[in-house]
Order: sequence, then structure tokens, then C-alpha cells
Amino acid sequence: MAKRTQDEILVYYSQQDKAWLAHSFRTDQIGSGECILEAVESLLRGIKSIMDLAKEDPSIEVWREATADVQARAKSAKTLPYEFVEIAHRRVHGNWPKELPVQAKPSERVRFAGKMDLAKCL
Amino acid sequence: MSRTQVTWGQLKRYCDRHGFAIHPSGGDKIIVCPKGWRGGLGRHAVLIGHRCCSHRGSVVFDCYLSKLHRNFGLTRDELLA
Repeated sequence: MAKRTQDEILVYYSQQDKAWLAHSFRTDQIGSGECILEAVESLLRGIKSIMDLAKEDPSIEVWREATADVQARAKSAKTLPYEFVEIAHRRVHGNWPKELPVQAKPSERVRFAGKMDLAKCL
Repeated sequence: MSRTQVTWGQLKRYCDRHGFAIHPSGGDKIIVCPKGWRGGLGRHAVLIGHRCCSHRGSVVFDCYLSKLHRNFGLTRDELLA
């Protein structure tokens, strides 16, 4: 597996699907949820699961670039704080207390773009 | 005109019939195509969020149907057949 673990994500509300979506630019996978954090967490958990599968079966591809139009939408998006992605990583790895729920449900028209370090999924 | 929805039961049935593997990822699912699917050299995977795969009647989001088409060449008609 190539060592290209720095990724970018676009998080937005889909009117079509009535859900928050988190789209990875380097893997082209899409997490979804009722709030931003749930969508990012879904994405990170999914990428981790695919990486685990690829370790057992190297014929499974992990990396695939998202389409240009998806990546272009990040230019007009607000910055997603990295701390937010950290919380999602912690929740994926079971290192966030269940007694401390976090929910982020901004105005539905706002898009966010941020960076992710997928090395934390390995 | 709205497009016909695809349910998780219909997608799962297609996967079972054509040798796709379905792996759990928390409440989500990972769909992996069989080796050599439609002549491709690489095997790709598609993450399906839990709201789309919690039960047979769950509606699969348009974003995932688009992803299934990008990765595996699957169309709605094929999944609904």
C-alpha cells in the first residue's frame, strides 16, 4: 500500500439524500449521518475497515481519487477544524467517553472542507 | 420525474447473486466486487452508510448508487431487475 495518508474531505448536507455526507478525496468513499460528526466518523470507520480488508487481501484497492467536481466544491467551503476530525478518530477507536455526546448540526447550506490523516486508521 | 428508489434488500440480493462480498463496518457495510469484475484489474470497495443498510427496506442514498456506478458500473435497472 502506497504511503499517501494525507487526505482531504468535503462535508455537506445532501438535499437529495436528506443527510450529512463526508466525502474523501483520496479514497472517494462517502460517510453519512444525521450530523457532521456522525458522517465523518462513518467515513473514517469505513476507510479503516477497507484498509484492514486490503491488508488481508492486497487485491482490494484503497485509493481512488474523487471526481474533479467534488474536489472543486471544497474551494468555496468553510474550513473544518482539525480538532473535529480528531474527535471522530477517537470515537472510531473507542477513545471518546460515551457519556460525552457531541453533535454538530449547522445550517444545512454550509459546506466544510478539512484535512485528515489516514495514518490514524492504520 | 423522481427516480425509482433502490432498497438495501434489492442491493443485497444483487450482491449475493453476483458474488459481491459484504463486510460489516460498525453499523455501516463495505461492498467488495469479485475478482475480475467486468474485466477490471483492480478490486474496489464501496462504503454504505448505516441508514441505508440497517434493514431490507432501507433506501440506498443516491450518492451511494452513484458510487456503485462509478466503481462497479452498476445501474439502477440492474439492481432492480
